[in-house]
Amino acid sequence: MTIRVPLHRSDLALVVAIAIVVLALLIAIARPLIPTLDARARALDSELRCPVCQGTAIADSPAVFAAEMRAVVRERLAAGLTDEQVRDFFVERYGTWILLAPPPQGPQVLLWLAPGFALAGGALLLVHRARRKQRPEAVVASPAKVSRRGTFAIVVALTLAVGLPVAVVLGPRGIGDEITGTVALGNQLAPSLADREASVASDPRSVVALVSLGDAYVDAGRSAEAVSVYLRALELEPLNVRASLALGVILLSAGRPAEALALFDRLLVSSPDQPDALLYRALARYQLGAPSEEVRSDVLRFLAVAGNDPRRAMAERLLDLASPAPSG
Amino acid sequence: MIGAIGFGATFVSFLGALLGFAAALLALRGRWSSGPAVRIAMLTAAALVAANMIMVVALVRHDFSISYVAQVGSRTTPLLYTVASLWGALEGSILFWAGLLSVVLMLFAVRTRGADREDLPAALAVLFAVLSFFAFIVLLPGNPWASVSPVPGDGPGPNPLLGNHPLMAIHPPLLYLGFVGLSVPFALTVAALLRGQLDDRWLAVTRRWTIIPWVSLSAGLVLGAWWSYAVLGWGGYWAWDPVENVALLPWLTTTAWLHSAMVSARRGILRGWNVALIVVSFALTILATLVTRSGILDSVHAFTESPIGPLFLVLFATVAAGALVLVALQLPKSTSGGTPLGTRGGAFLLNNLLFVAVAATVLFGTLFPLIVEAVADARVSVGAPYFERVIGPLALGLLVLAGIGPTLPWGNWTAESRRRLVPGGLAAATAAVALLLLDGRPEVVAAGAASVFALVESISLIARRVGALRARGPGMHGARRSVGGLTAHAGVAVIGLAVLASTAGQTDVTATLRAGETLPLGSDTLTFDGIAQSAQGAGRDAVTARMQLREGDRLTLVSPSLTLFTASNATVATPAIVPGALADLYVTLTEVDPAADAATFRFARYPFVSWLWVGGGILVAGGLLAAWPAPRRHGQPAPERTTVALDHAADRI
Amino acid sequence: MASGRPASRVVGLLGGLALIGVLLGVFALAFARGSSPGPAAQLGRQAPAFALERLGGGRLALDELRGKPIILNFWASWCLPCRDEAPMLTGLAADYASHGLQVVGIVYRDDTASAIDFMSRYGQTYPGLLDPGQRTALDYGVFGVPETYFIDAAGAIRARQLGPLSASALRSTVEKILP
Repeated sequence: MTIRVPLHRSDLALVVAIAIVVLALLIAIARPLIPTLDARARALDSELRCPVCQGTAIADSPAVFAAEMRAVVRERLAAGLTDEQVRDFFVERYGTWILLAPPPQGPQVLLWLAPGFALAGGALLLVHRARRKQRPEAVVASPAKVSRRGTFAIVVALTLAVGLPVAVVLGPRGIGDEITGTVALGNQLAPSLADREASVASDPRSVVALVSLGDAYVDAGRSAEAVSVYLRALELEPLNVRASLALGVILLSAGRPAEALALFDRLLVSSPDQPDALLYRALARYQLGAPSEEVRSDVLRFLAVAGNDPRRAMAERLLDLASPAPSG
Repeated sequence: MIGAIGFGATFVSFLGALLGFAAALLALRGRWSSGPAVRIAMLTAAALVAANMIMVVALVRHDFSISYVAQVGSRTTPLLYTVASLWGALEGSILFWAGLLSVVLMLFAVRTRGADREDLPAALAVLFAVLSFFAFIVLLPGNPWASVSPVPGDGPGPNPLLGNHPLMAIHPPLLYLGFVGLSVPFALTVAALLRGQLDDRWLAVTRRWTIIPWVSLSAGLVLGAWWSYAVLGWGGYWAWDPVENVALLPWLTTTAWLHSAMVSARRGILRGWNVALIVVSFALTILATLVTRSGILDSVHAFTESPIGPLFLVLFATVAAGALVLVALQLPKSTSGGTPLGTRGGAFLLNNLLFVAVAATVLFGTLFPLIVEAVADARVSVGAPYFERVIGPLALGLLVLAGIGPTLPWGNWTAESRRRLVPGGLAAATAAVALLLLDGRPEVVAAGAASVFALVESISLIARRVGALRARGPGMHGARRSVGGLTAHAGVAVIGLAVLASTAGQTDVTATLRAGETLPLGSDTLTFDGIAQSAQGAGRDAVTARMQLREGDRLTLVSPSLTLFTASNATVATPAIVPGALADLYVTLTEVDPAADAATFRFARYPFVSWLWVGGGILVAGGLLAAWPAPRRHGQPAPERTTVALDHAADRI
Repeated sequence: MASGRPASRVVGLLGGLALIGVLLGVFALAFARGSSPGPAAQLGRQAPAFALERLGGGRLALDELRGKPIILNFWASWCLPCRDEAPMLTGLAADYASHGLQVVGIVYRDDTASAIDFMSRYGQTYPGLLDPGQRTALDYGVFGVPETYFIDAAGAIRARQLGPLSASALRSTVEKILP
C-alpha cells in the first residue's frame, strides 16, 4: 500500500521538530551519565523490599529496619561492591523475594515477556478483527429463537451466581478436606522432605523424626512410603498418637475402614478421650455400616471433649447422617 | 435492638432482590410488564439505604452491642471518621457496596422505564442477581449486625492509617461508586446479547451509563494517590501495590472501551471487542473487591480468614464464564455497515492495543507472586521497579497517541491534519532540548517530550474546536463531547508532567536537629522549635515536632508528627506538607530523642507534584463535560446517526 | 469473542474458559493454603556467625557454641507473643540441658533497660544478646519478632519459625537438631 503524501511547508516544520526530539534522545542515550554513589544507592533502595513492612521498598519505608538496610547498601557500595553484588548480599539472606523487580531467570522470564506477549497477541487479534471483510446487513438470528435460548442462558448463569455462594456457605464442608487438614496439622515449619529423610537416617530410632517424615510423605502424596514410615514408628512406640491417627486416616481414605477401625480401637483403649480418634472411629464405623448408636456415641463423645474444634460442623453432619430417623 | 432492625432491613432487601429477579424474569418472558420489577427496585433501595443509615446511627451512637461497631468504633474517634468507618472494614464496606448498588439499580430502572426499553427486563434481572449476591453476603457470612455480649465499653477504633485524613472519607466511596456503576453497562450488554442485537442504540445507552462510573473511578484513583501522598509519609502517591493495581485495572479497560466505542459508532465494527471490554471491566471490579477484601495479596503476615473471599471468587468465575458462554452463543454473526478504519480508526486500534496490553501486564504482574507460589512453591515479589520499567514505555506510547489521535481524520491523512501537529511538535522539540541540558537521562527526555506534546496538542485542538463552536452558534453536541475528550487528554498530559517532574526532580536531605537549630533550605530556612507530646494512651503515643518555615517574609508553621503503636512497636509518620505551585516541601519526622530534645527529619522537595491533583481534576472535568446530557431540542434527543454526521462535520473544520 | 466462523468462536470460548480456570485455580490454591511463611533462604545453610554483647555484661560468639544444638530466638520487650515464648524456651533449655541444647535470645530493636526488665520479669535465664543496628537479624533474614532459628550441632540451620511458637511445635521441632 503506497500513499502519496504531497509535502507542505508545515510538514517541514514537523519533520524538523521530530528530528530534534529524536536527536536529543539519541544524545541522551549515547552519553550515559556515570551515576554517583548516592544515585546508585537510591536506585538500589527502591529495588529492595522492606522485610518488616507491607510490600514497600526500603526507600519508601519509615521503619527503622529499612533505615538500617539503607545504611548497609551505602556501606557496601562505599566498600567498592557492584550493584549486582549488593543485590546478591540481600538475596542470600532473604531469597529472590527481597527484589521488587525479580531478575529474568527461571519462571520470572515469563514476567518480563508478558508485555510483549500482550502486545503481540492483542495486535494479532485486533488486526484480524478489523480486517474481516464486512458482509451485508443480515445480522441476527430470528428474535424468537434468540429470546428462548437467551433466557435459558441467563437462568443458568444467574442460578449459578446465586446458588453456588449459598452452597459454599451453607453446604457441609468436604470430609476429605478435613482429613488431609488434620494430617498436615502442626506442620508449620515445613522443612524439606530431604531434611527429614536425613534426620531419620541419622537417627532411625527417633519416633518424632519418623512421624515427621511420614507427614512429609503424605504432603508429597507418597502414601505407600508414608504408611511404611508410620508402621516403623508404631513398632518403636505402639501407641504413638500421631502415627496411629495418620495411619488410620490414610487407611480410611484408601477405603479400608475395617483396618482403620482396629487402629482407632487400640488407640482409644489407652487414651479414651482422644478427640481425633473418636471422630475418625465414628467415621470408620459409619463407613462400615455399624449400628447408628455406635457412631453417635463416638460423635457425641467427640463433641463433648473437642471444645471449639473446627470440625464440629462435620461431626454434627455425621450425627445427622447416622440418625436412625427414617425421614432423613 | 438497632441491630435487629438493621438485620431486618437487610433481610427485606435480600428478599426484594430475589423477588425483583423473579419479576424481571417474568417481564423478560413477556408475562408481566417491567413495572413490578421497577417498583421492587425502589423498595429494595429503600431497605438497603435504611440499613446503611441504621449502621451510621449505630456507629455515631457507639452502640457496641453490634459486632461491626465493636470492631471498628471507638469513643475517641472524631465524627467524620466514625461515619467513614462504615466502609472502613470488610463487613461494613460490603453493606455500603450493596447500598450503592441498590441505588444505582433504582436510578437505572427509573431512568430507563420511561423510554420503554426492550432491554430493561433482562438488564434488571442481571442487576438484581448481582444485588442478591451482595445482600446475601451482608445477610450471612458478612453479617455486621451480630450482637456482642457482654457489650464492650469501648472499641479499638478504625485502622489508624484509615482514620487520620479527610480524603479517606471521599476516596473509597468514589472508587466503590465507579465499581458499582460498571455493573449497569454489563447488565445492558448482557441484555443486548440476549436479544442478539448489538446496535447503535446499545452503544449509545451503554456509553451514557459508562462515563459516570469512569469519572467516578478516575476521581477515586487520583484522590487515593493524593491520600497516599498526604498520609503515608514517604512522599509517593502510587506504590504499584496489589490493592492499587486491581483498582486501576477496570479503569484501564473502561478507558479502552470509551475509545473503541467511538470506532464502533462511526464504523460499525469491533462490536465483539467492545462487548469483551465491558464484560472484562465488570469482572475486574469483582476481582478488585476479591483482592482488596480478602487480603490475599498482602504481605507475609496479614491474611483474613473469611468465607467472603472464596465467595467473591465464585461470583467472578460465574460472571466471567457465564458472559463468555453468552457471547459464544449470542454474538451476532457479523455486524453491518463496516467501513474502512481510516487513519483515525487505526489510531484508536493502537490505543486499545496499548491499554489492553497495560491492563494485561498489570494483572499478570500483580498475580505473578501467587502463580509462582502455586506452581513452584517459591516466593517472589513484583513491585514498583518492575511496573515502572514495563509500563513506562507503553504509557509513553499512549501519551503520544493522545496528542496525535484527535488530529487525525477518519479518511486519509491530509496535509491539513498534519499541520495541526506542528504546535505540539515544536513544543516537544523545545522540551526535549531543555531536558537534555537540564537532566540528560533518556527516559526523562522522552517522557517530558511526550507529555508536553500531548498537552500542547490538546490545548490547541480545544482552542480550535471552541473557535469553531463560536463561529457556528450553539448546540453542537458532538463538538462539546469531543472538547470533553480533549480536556481529559490535557488532564492526562498534566498528570504525566507532574509525575515526571516530581520523580526526576525530587531532592531530599535527612538531618538531625536540636531544639532551636535552624536548617537552611535553598533561600528558605527552617527552625526547629521543639517536640510536643500531642496524644497519649489507648495503645498509642504521638509526638509532634514544631517548626517554622521562613520563605522571604512569609512564616509558615510546619508540624510533622510521629505516632507509635505500642502493641506492635510500629511507627506511623504523618508528614507536614507545604504545598506550592512549583514544588511541595515535604517534612517527615523519622526519629525522636526526647532526652537530647533532638529529632531526625527527612526534608524533601517534590517539584510540580500539586499539578498531579490539578491534572486529575482536569481529567474528571473532561469526563463530566463529555457525560453531560445533551440539551433536548423539541423534546427529542438527537439520534445517534445525526450526532455522527455532526461529528464528521466537526472533523472537517 | 470471535464473531466469525463457529470454529474460531469455539476456540475463543475454550481459550477464555481455560484462562478463567487458571485464575480460579491460582486463587483457590492461595485461599486453601492460607497465609504462608516467608521465603526461607537460610534453611540448610550454615548459621551466620555473630559475636555480640550480652545483656548484663560479657560477650557471646556463635563459635563458642560450636558442637551444640542451638535455638536462636529473636525477641523484644514490646512484642506480646514473646512474653509467652520466654518461659517456654527457659523450660525447654532446662529439659534438654543433658542433650547440650543451648538457647540464645537476640534482642531486636529495643532499649537495654526494657530488655533487662523483660528478662527478669518473664524468667528468661538463657543469654540475651544486644544486636546494634539489627545487623545479625539482617544476616539471618529476619522478618519481625518473634522469630526462631533451630541450628544443629554442625552449625546448619534446620528449621525456622516466623511468628510465635506453640509449645508442641517447639518440642517437635527441637527434635530435629538434637544429636
